[in-house]
Amino acid sequence: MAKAITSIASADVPASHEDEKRLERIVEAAVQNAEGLEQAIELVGALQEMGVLRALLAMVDKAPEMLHIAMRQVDSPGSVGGLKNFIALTQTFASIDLEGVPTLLQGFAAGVRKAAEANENVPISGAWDMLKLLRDPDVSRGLSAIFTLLKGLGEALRNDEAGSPLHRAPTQV
Amino acid sequence: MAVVESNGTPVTQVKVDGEPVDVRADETVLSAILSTTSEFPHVCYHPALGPIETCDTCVVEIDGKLVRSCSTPVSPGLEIKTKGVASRFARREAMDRILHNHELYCTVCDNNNGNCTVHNTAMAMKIEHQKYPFETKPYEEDNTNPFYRYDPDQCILCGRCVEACQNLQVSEVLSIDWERERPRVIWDNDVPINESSCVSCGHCVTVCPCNALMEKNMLGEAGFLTKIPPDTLEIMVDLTKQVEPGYGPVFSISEMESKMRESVISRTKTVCTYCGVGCSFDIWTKGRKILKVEPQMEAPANQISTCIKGKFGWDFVNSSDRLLQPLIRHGNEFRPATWDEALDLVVRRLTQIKKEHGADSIGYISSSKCTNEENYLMQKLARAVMQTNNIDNCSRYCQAPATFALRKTMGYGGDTGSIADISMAELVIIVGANPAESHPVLSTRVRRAHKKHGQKLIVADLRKNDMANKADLWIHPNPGTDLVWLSAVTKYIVDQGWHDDAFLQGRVNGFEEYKEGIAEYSLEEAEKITGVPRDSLIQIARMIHESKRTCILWAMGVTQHVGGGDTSIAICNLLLVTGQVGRPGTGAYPLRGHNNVQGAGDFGCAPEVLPGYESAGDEAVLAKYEKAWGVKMPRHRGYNNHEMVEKIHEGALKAMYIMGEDMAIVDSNINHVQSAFEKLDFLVVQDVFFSKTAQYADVILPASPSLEKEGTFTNTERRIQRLHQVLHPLGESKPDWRILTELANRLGANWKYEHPSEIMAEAASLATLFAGVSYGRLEGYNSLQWPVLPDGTDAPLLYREKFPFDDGKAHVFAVKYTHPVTENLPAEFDLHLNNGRMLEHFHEGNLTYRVPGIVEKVPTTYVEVSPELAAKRGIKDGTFVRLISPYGKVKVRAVVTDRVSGSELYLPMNSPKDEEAINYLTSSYHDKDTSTPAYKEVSVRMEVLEVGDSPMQRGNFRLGHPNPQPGVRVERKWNRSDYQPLVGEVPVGQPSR
Repeated sequence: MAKAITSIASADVPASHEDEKRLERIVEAAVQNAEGLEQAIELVGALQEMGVLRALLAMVDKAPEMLHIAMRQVDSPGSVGGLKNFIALTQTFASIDLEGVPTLLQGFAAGVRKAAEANENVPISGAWDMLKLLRDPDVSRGLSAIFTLLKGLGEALRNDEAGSPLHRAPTQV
Repeated sequence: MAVVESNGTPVTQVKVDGEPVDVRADETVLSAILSTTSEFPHVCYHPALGPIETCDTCVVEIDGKLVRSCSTPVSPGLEIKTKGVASRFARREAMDRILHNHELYCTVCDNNNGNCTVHNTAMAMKIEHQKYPFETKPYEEDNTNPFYRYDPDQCILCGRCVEACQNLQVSEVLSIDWERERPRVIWDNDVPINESSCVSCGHCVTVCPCNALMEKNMLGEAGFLTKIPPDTLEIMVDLTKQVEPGYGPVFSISEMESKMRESVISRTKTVCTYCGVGCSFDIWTKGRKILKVEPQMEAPANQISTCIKGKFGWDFVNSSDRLLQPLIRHGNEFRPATWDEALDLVVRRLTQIKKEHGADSIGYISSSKCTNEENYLMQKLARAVMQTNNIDNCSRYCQAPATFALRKTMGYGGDTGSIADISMAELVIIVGANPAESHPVLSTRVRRAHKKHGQKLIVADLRKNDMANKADLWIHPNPGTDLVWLSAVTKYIVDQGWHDDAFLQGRVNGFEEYKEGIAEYSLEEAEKITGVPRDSLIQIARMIHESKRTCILWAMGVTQHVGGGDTSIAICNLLLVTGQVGRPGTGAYPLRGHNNVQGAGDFGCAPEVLPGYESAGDEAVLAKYEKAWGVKMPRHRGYNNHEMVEKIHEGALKAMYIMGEDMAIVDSNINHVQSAFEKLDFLVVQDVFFSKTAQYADVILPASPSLEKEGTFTNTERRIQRLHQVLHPLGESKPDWRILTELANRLGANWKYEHPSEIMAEAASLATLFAGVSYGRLEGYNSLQWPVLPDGTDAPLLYREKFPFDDGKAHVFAVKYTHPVTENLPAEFDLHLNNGRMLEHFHEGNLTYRVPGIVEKVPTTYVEVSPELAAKRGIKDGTFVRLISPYGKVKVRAVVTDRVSGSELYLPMNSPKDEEAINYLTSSYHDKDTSTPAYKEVSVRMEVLEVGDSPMQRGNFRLGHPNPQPGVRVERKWNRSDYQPLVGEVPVGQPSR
């Protein structure tokens, strides 16, 4: 005789012995690193809330396909042109003699400083004043540096006529 | 030169940009183009809907004219130009107009899942800038429906949703108000969605080519960045537009984001677990969250169609009510137990009872909710392990009389054709069924054919249900008298000489005896018994006579009577006499009620048959199984489920094992059933939820629902389809096949099944009906309709050449009218109580009442009362009434409606409360041939109680006012003063190339 009953006792199913041991180890480690773990959990929670974790997991999972799409976009004429310019600039900077750069930059900075200080401006009221200035050793050194820069630029442009890798024919559109 | 495809369809050749293309002669120019490239734009066209002509994105040039390729038929030698300046300009202009209505923020859009038509078209057309800037529309989002939202700002006014609602689902709710300054989609006559007649079938959402109509479960969930608040989102979108030189990079980023989503969102094909139509679809999940159901064109039964339950009714899977551990009765409560403990107890007690009282003292009930493989194992457990034929399933409660009739007259116990045949019939007759609510997707095929293709429809039903409202002829026979009018119509047809003599001569036995047998069914006699006017009967006969292709659909209104089997035979007789079987567009269609009620019977869960309906009394068959299973098979005739209840009361049945069936609620006369369960020595219940039946159990085993397992279901078309595992079993629940395997092995069976495919392989090797069935042949959306030959050839349409009897001929049998049992009840039971389903809920409601959106729309069951009875008894909407039958009583609220008439009531079986269940009122009377309970033969008296709130609440589609339209009515768009046509003569100055 089994009357209908509707009451269900609360679940209390014991975990297996192995699971219990593993849980003990985890709890022990957690206690030792409580503060860090708490913060890590907080961070994980925040990242989860923002959907960042999901996004990161998905990016890792779909990395090859995403790279493919990115490359397809980057491979478009506009992007290719931009990328080449970026690479050229990078290469140019890489070829500059870094030892000389600080001296040049310091000189440039000093010039800017002087220009900024109004009472130290070099007075020029005519062509004579300019010729006089050419004899000034500081101005002379500055001009020398500018002309050296221009010479380097000219040499590079000459080399380009011989087929510099930086200046091939314009991209096909 | 006329060429034909292998299936007989003529093929024609056209040229697309100079290249020859072969295409079916009934196809369109768009199809011809798409056969050469998938990149060609077309936004409003959808293969399930046909040309809508609202978007103009598919314009091409033919003979110096610009035309819409979607609506232009192919013709031999047609030269189609897609690359000319004029057509390219027109398509671009069309897309620009679309983007005026739709803001492209794809990366932060929940519809950015690789299948957004607007996104994909804009990308394919390499749209970098739009000519007309996006402009918001002066309308709010409509979020009133619990399942989906409409965002007018994103709506491109393509009209797909309207076409789907008006002409595929044919609920006729949606339209576009083209005359407004900014047109929009409206529901009914422009009311909020939830106050309209929308049935939440989801067609509109499924066909929407962008994010204007979205499943709410997707919002903020599908994308990584889609939870951003609207204000922030707006700034982001504006900023992106300002800094981006064009849409190209934006599309690339959205493509990448879309690709990332694939890592998080799974799309798994499954088969619906509700009714017997057998809809299949992809179900999208993120972890255990169900984001959406997306039906596919490849789905053989439904294509893109769904109903509210299939599209939105899955929350029960994650319900907190799920059984997660085995439970064992302990005093006055159940206590959780381990699987070992629970199964050991089951084995010990079943073994003990079998030893003490014999194998036939235990009964086994299988389930139409379980897979074919699980049903096969359940009957194998009963027969091979426990040596009894006491095995049954719930088809006994519904369509066993139809199976019985079909096997007796035509040979196979299943629908004679497919849903496609019903669609192509010239005449459909529905008897005692309400497919609009019980088989919603199947009913859409009838409604579409009726509205669009001139199909005629006759409905015979007590209620003026939705199909009756649309019918060319609705008849209301007196309850339980269908056999009489069916026989009278058949006799009249024979008397007029309208029967198919050649068919009868060549393919049917017994016609002469039959003619004599139906002599008593004159029109006059039929009118007297059924109440159906003589003229209506003649009209039915004439309509059948004038139809080249007729299908008859029937369900519980026919079968759940004391003469249910005979009435089913009368239907088969009518079809055979008129030769309406074995040809496309014809046949007999008993509409199966559950997802796998067909399969539960097919795979041997009935006392008298083994899998494939091979007789459990045939020695040759038994020898085959004994050899395969290595056991001695039982020879005793088994008890069916009705008999099991009686045998418990008699003391012969001591224990039961009930899998996935709430017998204590769904069997008839449940006071009688429940008192039987109290007498059992031992009861095992295996279920997903703690059911009413489980309350009587000694051991409850937690099972997994369909989304958590692999297997196959067989739908009403005899179509076997695979379901794939979507989610892991929740808690410690297990798929039924695993539980049965573990139990059988503890009983010494040594079963080695590791996957359901192995079970199907075994069944196919034994049952001739399924010889060619294999999981390999059922991959993806592939399906097989039995009988399946060893080479995999299946049978969408039965009896093309012969019937499966020795001489290949069918049989007609004259049948006698059995009077309903209600005729013998005392006069105090003065009201007839009809019962059945409502659209939103299913069966006893254990699944759908665990779907909050459905409960919001329809929170409870109710009894329908006719206006005349209501006036007489002082009943209003919401009045509580008590219904009392000789077997029990229930208290429910009333709804006054003209769906019922006179002294007839209707109480949906879908109740959230046990105490409201219809089966407290039903009797134990049953069909004389099949023991199917006479659920539909109920008389009650009614006590009017206190006044209450109407159970018909806001959100119930029955309160809405449909707005029937021929379609999207694009001509109203074209008539607008601001519409500049993009078709016609190629403009001067834009020469074609």
